[in-house]
Amino acid sequence: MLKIENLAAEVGEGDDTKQLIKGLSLEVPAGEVHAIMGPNGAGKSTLSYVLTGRDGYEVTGGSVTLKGEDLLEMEPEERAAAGVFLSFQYPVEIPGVPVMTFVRTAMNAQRKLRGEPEISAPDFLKKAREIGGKLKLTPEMLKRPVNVGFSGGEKKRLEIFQMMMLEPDFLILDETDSGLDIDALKVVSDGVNALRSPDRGMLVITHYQRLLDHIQPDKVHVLADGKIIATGGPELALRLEKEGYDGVLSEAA
Amino acid sequence: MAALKELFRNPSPVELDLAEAYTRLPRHGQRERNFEAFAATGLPTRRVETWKYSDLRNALPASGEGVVELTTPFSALENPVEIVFDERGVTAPESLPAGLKLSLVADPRALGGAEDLPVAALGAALASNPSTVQLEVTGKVERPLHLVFRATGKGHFHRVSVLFREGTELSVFESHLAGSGFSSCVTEYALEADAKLERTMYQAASLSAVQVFTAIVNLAARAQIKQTSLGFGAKLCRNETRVMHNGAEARAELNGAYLIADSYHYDQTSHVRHSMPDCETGQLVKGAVKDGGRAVFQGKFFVARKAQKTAAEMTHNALILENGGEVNAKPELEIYADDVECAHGNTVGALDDDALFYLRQRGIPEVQARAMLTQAFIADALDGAPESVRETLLETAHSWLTDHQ
Repeated sequence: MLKIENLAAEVGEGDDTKQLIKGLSLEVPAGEVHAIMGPNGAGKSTLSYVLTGRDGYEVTGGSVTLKGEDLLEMEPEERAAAGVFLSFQYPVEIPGVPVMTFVRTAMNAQRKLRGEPEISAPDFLKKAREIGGKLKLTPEMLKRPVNVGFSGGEKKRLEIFQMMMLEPDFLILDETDSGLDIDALKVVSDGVNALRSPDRGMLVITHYQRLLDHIQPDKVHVLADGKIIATGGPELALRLEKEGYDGVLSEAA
Repeated sequence: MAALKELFRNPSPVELDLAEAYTRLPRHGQRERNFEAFAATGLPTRRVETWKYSDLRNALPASGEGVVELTTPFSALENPVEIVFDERGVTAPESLPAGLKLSLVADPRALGGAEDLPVAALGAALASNPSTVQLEVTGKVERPLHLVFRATGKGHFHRVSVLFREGTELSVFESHLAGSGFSSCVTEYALEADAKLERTMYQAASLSAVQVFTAIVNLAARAQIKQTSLGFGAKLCRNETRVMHNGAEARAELNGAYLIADSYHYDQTSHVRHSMPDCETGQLVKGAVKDGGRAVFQGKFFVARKAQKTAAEMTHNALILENGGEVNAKPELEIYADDVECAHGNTVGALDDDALFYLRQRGIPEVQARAMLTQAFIADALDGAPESVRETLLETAHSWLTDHQ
């Protein structure tokens, strides 16, 4: 499904250029959930931006394919239409654009890029109401501007709402647990788990093991200094929690 | 004619043309006073402080050839009382609804504050015959008033005044459409105590047009104006509003949005004078400018010593959509009272990269994402527009953003 080979990327310009991804390889087959854990500054968020094509992150080597398609050649919106969804660590406030308008515009834009017909207004409303209900997002909240005046937990739930509405093939969850209390964490991970399917892959980026109690990964990778330095099963996450990153890092070195 | 020329220092060919147009009109004292007020300054250049970002003299002459048909979103109004000011003069309905009276006045008063408003004074001096349309609001009017100014050909000068009797209310829509030529139109609103004016404006022009429209608004005690405008500029366009809080507890809300494409120039200028205590003014102006476009915002709040407890807030936020767009902003507060709450805020910036990426990550193509964010940015400056046209104004902005990608 998602195949990253020897990826290298840098950020910044001129003398400020920093190499943040240094030969990263990783494969997430369809149906699997992989976690990426790592200390602060390891390149976790950079990886999510490189995969989604954010301006300012320049790929200097390697390849990334999704279902065999070269992602790196595509614009961010084309990657989205190809099935890549990023749940942002810090969802952005968009004043003046109501959630429903935003999601419907996104859905139809993706469909257009894929050559599919638009969703009808009643079908969209029905789906939004159903999914909103599951995530405890009231119709009133869905009329508000995107993320404006939303609490941290509400913002994350809104990310999951968009994910469930858009039904992407591949999900990248960037620190989705940050800023969540236990109840919100449960709602969010229930949403993510509902999306697990044999056709879908997920990359869960997190600093803490806690989220992985709720979203159980098939594999755990440890990212440090722009490279994967260890890969294992869920037990690797538990070990990191107990011993901290230092133990695993020194072992790898 | 010889004497007229002497009114100007170094008259430009356009000023001579204007002087000649003036001599062809019937003479009367007030018209003469208005023309003299204009001639004292002449066509303003950058050296005139209030016109420093909009060099009118340099923008003229304006071509007489241009777009003939410009449309207004206010054509969707339901059953308006429509008065059209165009090449043929003034066209008004035969009968007006209860509460509204119209008269044509040959010798109206000289324009108030004409010395500070040379181009408005010119408009009043050259206003077609009979020179002023006077409307009087005497009671409840069930229908909105729509004033359509349609400039074609070379010159276009009109003056209309609306007197609101005590406690009356009216929703007035103004369409300022300039296909070509030089135009200066003046609207005067005099509100007696407790009267309310809802003023909504739409401006569109071709690049052949140089267009100035000026409103002079006098508010008595507790009178209120709520103003919203949407403008797209012209070769040079100036939309100027003067508000005088002449009575205590008067209120003014002066909002507006602008969207400016390559080679267009739009100047939104306002001057609000607080002369009496307990008056309020709020202003929110927002706009966006493309490469080669130029927007000017000038806002001044004057608070006289007597005007204690004035509450006034001015906000102007502009987006430069592309390198090469230009925004000049001059917010000013001049305050002589000591117990007031006055503030102004002004920002000029680019679209938020984080927001743009967020939209694109969800699958919205960049051009569409930019249009969406720009529309959302200006939308709250149009929120105060009457419900009957709010959506239409937003749709008009949306079409412009879609056409100018």
